[in-house]
Amino acid sequence: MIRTQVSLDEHEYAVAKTEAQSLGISVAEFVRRAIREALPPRGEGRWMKFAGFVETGNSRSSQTIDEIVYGQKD
Amino acid sequence: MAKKTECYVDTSAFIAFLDRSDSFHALFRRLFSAPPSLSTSSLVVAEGHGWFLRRYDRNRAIQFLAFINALQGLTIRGFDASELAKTGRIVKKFADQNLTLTDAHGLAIMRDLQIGCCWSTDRHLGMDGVPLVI
Repeated sequence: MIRTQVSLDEHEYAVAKTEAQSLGISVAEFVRRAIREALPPRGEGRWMKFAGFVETGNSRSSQTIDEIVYGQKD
Repeated sequence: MAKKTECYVDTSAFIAFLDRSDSFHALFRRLFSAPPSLSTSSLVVAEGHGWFLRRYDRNRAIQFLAFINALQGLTIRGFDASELAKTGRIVKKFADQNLTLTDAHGLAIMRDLQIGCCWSTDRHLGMDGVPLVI
């Protein structure tokens, strides 16, 4: 483990502390988990963390781009 | 010497990868996990950014740009007057189709770079005979 310092504003710290307490973990562990969630899985490129980052509910999403960007024809 | 581009990437491939609802999401998730050298158009980046602005908000649109910046091995072709001239000829050639300038620029890039593979779910990108990956 590498020891490092992180500065949080009062509100962020208070919210992180409350969330950590509700999970029964320390603030440090809560921060470690948040960082792990934000990082791509080991062995994958940084871009893979964006895979499926939105969920439109439209299974034909990639086939209806023109309608969204350019609008429907009258 | 620069590595030869293996595949062209269209806006639809990016959206299929980024939208977990898309029926081609699993395919593009697999393809992007170990991508070959890729090329795209600056118009594709603008179109993708516009899609996120229209469909979601500026924050998601910025995340899209962060994804583009993070994607290793992606070459982005600019769009200047000479590209417009080439692209315009393609739009005129396929005047019976609703071909966007973005699609036409993709066809022009595939011709120029002799790319034989296209990551797209849009049939327009297959109009010159380059097989789509789907």
